[in-house]
Amino acid sequence: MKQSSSLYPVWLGLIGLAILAGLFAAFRIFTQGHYLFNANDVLMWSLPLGVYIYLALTSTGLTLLASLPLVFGVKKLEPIAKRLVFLAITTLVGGFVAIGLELGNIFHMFYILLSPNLSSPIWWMGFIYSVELVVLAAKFWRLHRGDWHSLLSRMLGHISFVAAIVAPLMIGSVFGLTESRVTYFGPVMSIYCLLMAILSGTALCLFYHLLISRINGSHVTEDHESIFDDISQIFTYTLAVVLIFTLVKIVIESATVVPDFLNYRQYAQAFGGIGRLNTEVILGLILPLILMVIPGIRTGISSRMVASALVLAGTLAMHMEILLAGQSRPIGPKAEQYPDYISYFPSMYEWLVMLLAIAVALLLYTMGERYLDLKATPEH
Amino acid sequence: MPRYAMVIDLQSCVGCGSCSISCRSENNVPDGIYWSNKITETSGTFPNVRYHYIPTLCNHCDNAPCVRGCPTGAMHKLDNGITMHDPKKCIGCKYCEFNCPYGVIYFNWRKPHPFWQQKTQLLQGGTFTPVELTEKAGGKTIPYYNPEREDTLAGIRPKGVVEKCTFCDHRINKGLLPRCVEACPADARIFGDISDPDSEVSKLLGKFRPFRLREQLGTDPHIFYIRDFNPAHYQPTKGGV
Amino acid sequence: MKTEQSIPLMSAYLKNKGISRRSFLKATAATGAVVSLGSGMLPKMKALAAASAAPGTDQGQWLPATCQGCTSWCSQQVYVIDGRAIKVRGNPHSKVNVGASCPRPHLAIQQVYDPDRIKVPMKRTNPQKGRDQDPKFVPISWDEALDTIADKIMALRDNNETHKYMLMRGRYTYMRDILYDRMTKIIGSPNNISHSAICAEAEKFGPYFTEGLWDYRQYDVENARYILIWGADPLAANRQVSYYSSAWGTVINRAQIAVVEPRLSATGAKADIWLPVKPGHDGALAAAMAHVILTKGLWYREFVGDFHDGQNRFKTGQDVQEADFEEKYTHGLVNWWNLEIKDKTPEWAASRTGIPADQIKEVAMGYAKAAPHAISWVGGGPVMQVRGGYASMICHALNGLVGSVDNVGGTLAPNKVYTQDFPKPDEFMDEIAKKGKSHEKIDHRGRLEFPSLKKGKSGGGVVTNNAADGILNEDPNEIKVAVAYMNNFSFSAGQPERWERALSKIPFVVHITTNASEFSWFSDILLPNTHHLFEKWGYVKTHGNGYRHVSLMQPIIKRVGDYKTDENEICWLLAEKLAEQGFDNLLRHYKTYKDPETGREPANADEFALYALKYATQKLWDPARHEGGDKFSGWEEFAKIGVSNSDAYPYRKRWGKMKTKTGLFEFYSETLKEALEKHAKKHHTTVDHVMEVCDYQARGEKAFIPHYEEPLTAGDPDMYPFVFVDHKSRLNREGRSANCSWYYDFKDLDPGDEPWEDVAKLNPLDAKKLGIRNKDAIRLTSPTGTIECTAKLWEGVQPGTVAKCYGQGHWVYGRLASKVFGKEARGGNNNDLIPAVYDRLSGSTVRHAGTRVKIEKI
Repeated sequence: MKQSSSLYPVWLGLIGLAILAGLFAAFRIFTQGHYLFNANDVLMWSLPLGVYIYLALTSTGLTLLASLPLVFGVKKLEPIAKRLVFLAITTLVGGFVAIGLELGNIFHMFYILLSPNLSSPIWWMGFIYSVELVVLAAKFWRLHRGDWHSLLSRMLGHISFVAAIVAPLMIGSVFGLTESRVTYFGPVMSIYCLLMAILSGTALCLFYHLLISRINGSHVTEDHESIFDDISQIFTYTLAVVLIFTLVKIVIESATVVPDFLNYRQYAQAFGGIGRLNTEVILGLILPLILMVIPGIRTGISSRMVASALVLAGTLAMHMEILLAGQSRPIGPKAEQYPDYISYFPSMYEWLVMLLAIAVALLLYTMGERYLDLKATPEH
Repeated sequence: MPRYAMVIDLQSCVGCGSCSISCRSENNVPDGIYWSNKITETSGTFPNVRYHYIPTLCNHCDNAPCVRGCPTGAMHKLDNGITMHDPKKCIGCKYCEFNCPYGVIYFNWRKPHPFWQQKTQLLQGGTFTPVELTEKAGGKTIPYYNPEREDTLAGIRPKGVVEKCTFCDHRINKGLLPRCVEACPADARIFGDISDPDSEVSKLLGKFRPFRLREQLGTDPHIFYIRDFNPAHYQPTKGGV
Repeated sequence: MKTEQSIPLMSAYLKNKGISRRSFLKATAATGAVVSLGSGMLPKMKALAAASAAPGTDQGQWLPATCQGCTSWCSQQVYVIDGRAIKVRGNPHSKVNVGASCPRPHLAIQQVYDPDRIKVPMKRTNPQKGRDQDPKFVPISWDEALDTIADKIMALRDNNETHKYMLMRGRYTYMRDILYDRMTKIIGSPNNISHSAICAEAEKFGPYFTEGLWDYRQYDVENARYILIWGADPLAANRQVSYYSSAWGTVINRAQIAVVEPRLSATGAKADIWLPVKPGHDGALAAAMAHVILTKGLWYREFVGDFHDGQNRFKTGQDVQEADFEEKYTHGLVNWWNLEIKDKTPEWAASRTGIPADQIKEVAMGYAKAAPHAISWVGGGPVMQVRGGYASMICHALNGLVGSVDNVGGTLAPNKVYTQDFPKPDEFMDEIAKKGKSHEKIDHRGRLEFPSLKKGKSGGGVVTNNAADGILNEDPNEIKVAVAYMNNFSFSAGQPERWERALSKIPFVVHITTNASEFSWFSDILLPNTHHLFEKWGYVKTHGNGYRHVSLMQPIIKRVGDYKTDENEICWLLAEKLAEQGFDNLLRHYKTYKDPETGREPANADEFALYALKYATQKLWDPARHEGGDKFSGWEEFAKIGVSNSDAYPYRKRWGKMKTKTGLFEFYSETLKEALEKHAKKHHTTVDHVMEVCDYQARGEKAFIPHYEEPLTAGDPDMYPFVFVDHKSRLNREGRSANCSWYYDFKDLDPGDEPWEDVAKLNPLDAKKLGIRNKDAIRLTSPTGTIECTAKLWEGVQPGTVAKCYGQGHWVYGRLASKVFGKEARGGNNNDLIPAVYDRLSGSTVRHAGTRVKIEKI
């Protein structure tokens, strides 16, 4: 955000309002309980958890992108490295806000340390993301100090990379370890989460940088343009991989007649679709991919922004749909008191949790852009 | 150390639900939460129709997915095989509930027993408010509060944590049968130590071919079902073309 | 729990009731036994306790009680901590319910601790009465309430119009006569109207006019080999649900079960054969079964006898000579065959009942081959119908054919009982009372159109639901003062809107009740009653499993509100008030209920309640007066155990000595013939005319035999295409559990029902035709009323019918029971649909096959 712009206070005001609204929701949730969500004992994980998954994975994607210059020495990307680390931190903080409001009792969280259960994917997920947050913060601190290449700084980069590879696999295995839910069970969710992390992280990276450069109105240097081309290329290939993966998943799910999958399929198009293709796949994967492969369009800033924005919305939608479809039917005796199919639309409080998570991330972005010199590069 | 298990004789079961209702008062369970529940099915088309009923409760699995997945060990196994929950350690992530193949875990979405927190009178001066009644009766949150539940677990679990059947561990500790077993008018629930070959459960499991729910998942559930809800006689037949 | 811990509790309880130190000591002595009762573990639990390393301590104790959630009347135990009820279980000392408890008693703790129970007397301040008139009740003291009631009664006495006093009885204990009989008589009114005829009187009609038994039967299920059940659902509703639930797993091992019922019931779910009869045609099925049994020669010769030459002359369509058959313990078999059964082939029945002829044969033969261990179990379904009395007879007559009456594995009478009646009121009835009592009763029993032949006497039984019309039409006279207790006729009787108008017409109505109900809405004074399971003094007797038990009710918890017991405490207090106003006959009468142990006469309400109970049950607990059954060392031990069992059932003792006119099991009922002829004679007419006036089809001798009558169902089939099938919930505590959240949370324990919904169950084929889907809001309309509820598509309902569980549809009663208290009902009350029609021979209200309805999607 251009600091001198008269819109800046308006922007801060809007974020402030969003955060106030979010804090109101948080207060109500803490005092009244989670019945304020449109969740229940069948569909127990809803929008706040979806937002958490989405933001955490996006943060992971940003961390992986940042590893290119910071771990793998792709010097060309160094001009965006510090910002990527910062974005990864703030996005993850947003994710933590979302899950913090999703958990029934965050005051018991210290038992994660006091009484760890090492066989729990949730524990590992929490542990790795906590480590990731600390390591990223440390790394950012080193970068901010201009320390790009010390052993410590490089070590931190390596650790954050490893954590960023493992973290989405852990999120995936939270689902992948549920024998009771065949549609999730197995390693597919882990691989899917890793791919989705790269995709949404790259999309955010691209969108954010294009937005910043547009807001700042500064002339985009050729160096930067070249960086955007590279990111766009990564983006395009990731899109293609995710699309292929998604199509394979759809084909397999369509081919099987295992009842769980039949049920899943029946409800897997919460947002509509054409044939077996879901709306979010069409709008969130296929359309952006088309935009990104057509010569003449793919290089335009607007089309890149549109494509990345579509992907950012689409990936959230895809996470939500997988989350909801797998929980939409009651298990065992819960079918006695609940309908065959739980329909879901987020309550006001769930929207506010999402708003708060995103507003916190946006506030941090804004502050970072203003005070933390995110454009810094190593002094060679 | 005993390994507790339950045999449910479906032929004896009459589907009356005494187990489930009596569980409510024994464990101060709020409305909408079913530690003891059932799976019913109406099969066939008129006039060849039957209704079937399978009582359900926590299976107290040996390989309990809820225990494996709990990040803080709030859900844990006791030496006697009971799958136990400690609400003090529960962060309310609901992963156990998500993970349970048997749909027996519930989350406290709100402060429990909202009915009993009302402060309105139906007939002015002539009836109690729910809060007054509980106070006057000497209960706690609910007028029929069972303080003996506190022996091993929060008497009423607070909002934000999960809860489920504990095999009435507080009763077992005192040498009493689980409440659902005591309350079953049909003696359809047989409780005991499966590690003792002379226990009634061991004898029954040696006599019948039991089945368990979703055995193929490898959870090793310890609720065993024997015989059929409807063991109807029928005229021998070879059918026809 | 130790005794010393519980004494403060009992004293707190007694203090709460405000009685004197002297009576406190008495009461402590009397009830001390109760509080020292041990924890009452079952043997297997004791074993478990012994095996366990560290048995903990219980904070409470199990105290004996009785459940009146239905008329099974099981003996219970309540776990009480510091005067507070926690939970309930079956009393292991009962041989009737054998320590088992159906789900109902568990709901009782939500009843006793219902915040919407009235806690003090209240009076109406809105003089206008009507459904849309808020009574504007305000709390008053017991003194004011009782003074007002006494004033009204005295005004009647002063004007020599005590017959304008009316007492309406609902759920009672056997202390009932104190209020129902003695008080009404001594005040001087004929109008003590019980609820019995909206319950099950038609069910007793068949057994009475075949085997001389006006009572519920007990069924020897554990020795049975075939159980044929007609419209009863013993695993869910009335009677001995606890016992049958406990025994059924073994019973179905040994016996084949066939259930005749229009909808799939809880018992049907576990049956070998479900016979979804078209509503009202049960009699045709029974006739065809009798036909099969006789033509196949499968009757039980030891009981029924045989042809002299052993040749079976029962051939379809052919008359038999009476002289050819020699009966043993039965009467009129050949007559019955000739008059009714000879043409009733399975093929004939198939067209009426919807049951295939082959299946009828299969069931009939299976049933008869199991003779004599073959039960024909007559429930309310086929009999609580217009013309249901004859269905009651013909279904029950099958027991005669297979000799299962009074036999092992058959249908049994109640065991002998040793309770005693309260002192007679006669010497306390003054001239005003005697004159008042001589008036005709308000329910028209005994009139030409209401034979109501309880125990064979014209007008012997009540016609409960017709009392509303009597009141409305001031026929035979107006009613000025009415006292009613534990009833809710403006909800529980067919076409309840009539009761709303009738009650609005009575200038002064007192309702003794736990909750302000649909009846209270039209009342002037409400008196808060105690809850039977926890707070009352009383006893009941009931039979099952070959035994009869007498189970005690005692106050075992702290009364949260200022409740008093209908059948004793309130009577005494009112008697005191009447005495203050110069009419002490009632109080003097009550003082004759002396403590059998000390000979003392009661000095206050508490003593009166206790002495009356001890008096009535003296032969059970007093070793000096023991006549049979369980023996106790004295009152103290009896009070501690809480239940007394009779001796075991003596099989076959009634063969040849039945209380029929012939002493035999009557297939041709000389008993009914005599009763009908007496009734006709009383009205100077013929039996045929009686039949005509009372809506029966039988003419001539048919009126005296078990036979099939076509159902008489209200509503034109074109306009109202569906027959309405009413059934009972396994969680209904006689319609009083509707303010318990568990009732709704577990409503789906009734097969086909849904939690928190009031569903009308439709066959999916019908629903499809109507374009109705699950959960759709629908409206049911009969010729007499309309209700709104939720649709449920269910295969357990036969096409052409709609089945709905009774119990919801309250528009008063409590915050959960009604959607908006006093204004809007939650769900629909089946009775709004059912017209006020009768099986006039028994006086029974009609519940089944009573009406057709149309179904509309809202």
